[in-house]
Amino acid sequence: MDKEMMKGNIDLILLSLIAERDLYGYEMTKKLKRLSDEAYSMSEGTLYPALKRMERKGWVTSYWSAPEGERRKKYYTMTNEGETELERKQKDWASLHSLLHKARKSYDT
Amino acid sequence: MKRIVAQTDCKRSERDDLYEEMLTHVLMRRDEEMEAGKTEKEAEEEAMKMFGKEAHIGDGLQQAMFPYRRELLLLLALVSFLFTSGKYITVLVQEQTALWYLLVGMVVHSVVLFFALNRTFAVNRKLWIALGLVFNLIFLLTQGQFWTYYDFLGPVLPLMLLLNLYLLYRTVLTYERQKDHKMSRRMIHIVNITLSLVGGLAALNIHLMAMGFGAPATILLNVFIPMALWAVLYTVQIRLLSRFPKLVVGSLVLTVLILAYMFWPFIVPPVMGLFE
Repeated sequence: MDKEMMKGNIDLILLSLIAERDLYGYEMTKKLKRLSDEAYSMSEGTLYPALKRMERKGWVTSYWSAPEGERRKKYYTMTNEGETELERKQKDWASLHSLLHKARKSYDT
Repeated sequence: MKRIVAQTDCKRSERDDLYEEMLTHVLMRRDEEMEAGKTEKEAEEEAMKMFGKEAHIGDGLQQAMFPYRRELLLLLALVSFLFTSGKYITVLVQEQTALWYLLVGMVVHSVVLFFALNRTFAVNRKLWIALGLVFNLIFLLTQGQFWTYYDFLGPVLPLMLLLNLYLLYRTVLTYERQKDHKMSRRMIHIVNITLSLVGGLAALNIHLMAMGFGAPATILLNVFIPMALWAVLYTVQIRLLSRFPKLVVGSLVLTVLILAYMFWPFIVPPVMGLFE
C-alpha cells in the first residue's frame, strides 16, 4: 500500500477507527495492520504526532484507563467536533473516489 | 523515550504523560515479541527499533503540538542574519571597517537556526532554544546604534526584539495545568526577566562608557552587586511563591528598587534638583 497516500489521509483513518470505539495508540497500530491484511504498518512516529495534532484541534480527547502508579493505557475518544470533521473528510473522500471513477470511465468509453 | 519527549516545548506534566504513554506502547510491543519467542533483550531492541529515530519522532510531536513555533524561529533567525550581515556590509562599504565582533551575532543566530531545524540530535530542545534566544536577544540589544548607518531599517530592530522576547517567553514560561498562582508566576518571570535584561545591559553599557572616560574598574561593582542581589531575590521569589503569593508579588517593588540602584547616579541628581 502506498505509504504517502496513507500519510495524507492519516486523520481520516484514525478518526474512522476512533469513531467505532475508544482506542489506545498501540491498539490502533494493531487494528490497522489487521484491517489492511498486514499490508500497512503505521509507525509510532506518524501515529503519536497525528494524535497530538487531533487532540490540539479538539477532534479527540484522551483519558487514562487507571490511576497514576499502575500500568495503564491512554485512550482516545471522539468529540462532537471530531465527528463533524470525520463527516467532512468522508464526503471529500467520496467525491475524490467518484472523480477517479468518472475519469477512468471517460477513457473506457 | 525521555529523549523523545525532551524534544518538545511541553509543560513537565505533559512531558510525563507523553513519556508514560509511549513507554506503555513500547512495553506492550516488547511483551508481544517475547510471546513470539524472542529473549527480553531482543524483544526490547525490536520494540525500540520499530519506534524509530528519537529526534525525528520528538520533532514530529513538537510540530504537532506547537504549530508555527518553528516558522517563527526561522523568521527570527533569517531576519537576524539579514540584519547582522547588512550592518557588516554597510559599515565595510561606508567606513572601510570590518566589524569582526559581528561574528558573535552570526554564531548566536546560527544556534537559533540550528535548534529550530534540528531533526537529527535528540537534545533538551527547550533548554537549548531558550539559551540561543537569550544570547540572540543580548546581541540584538547591543545593536541599538545601527540606525546611525541605515535609517530605514530602524523599525526592524524593535520588531526583532519583540519577536525574540515573545519566543523566549513562549518557550520558557510554560506551567503545569493544575499549578497554583499561574498569573503571579507569569508576572514574576516576565517582570524579572525583562527588567534584568534591559536594566542590566543598559547599566553595564553606561558603566563601561564611564570606564572609557577614566572611571576605575571598581565602578562595575555598581552593576554586579545589584545584579547578584537581584538573582538571589528572584530565586527566593520563585521558591516562596506557592506559600506567600501576595507577598512575593509585592516584593517586585524590591526587584525594581534593586535594579534601579544601578542607575542611582542618574536618578538622584535630577530628583535633588527638583527640591532646590
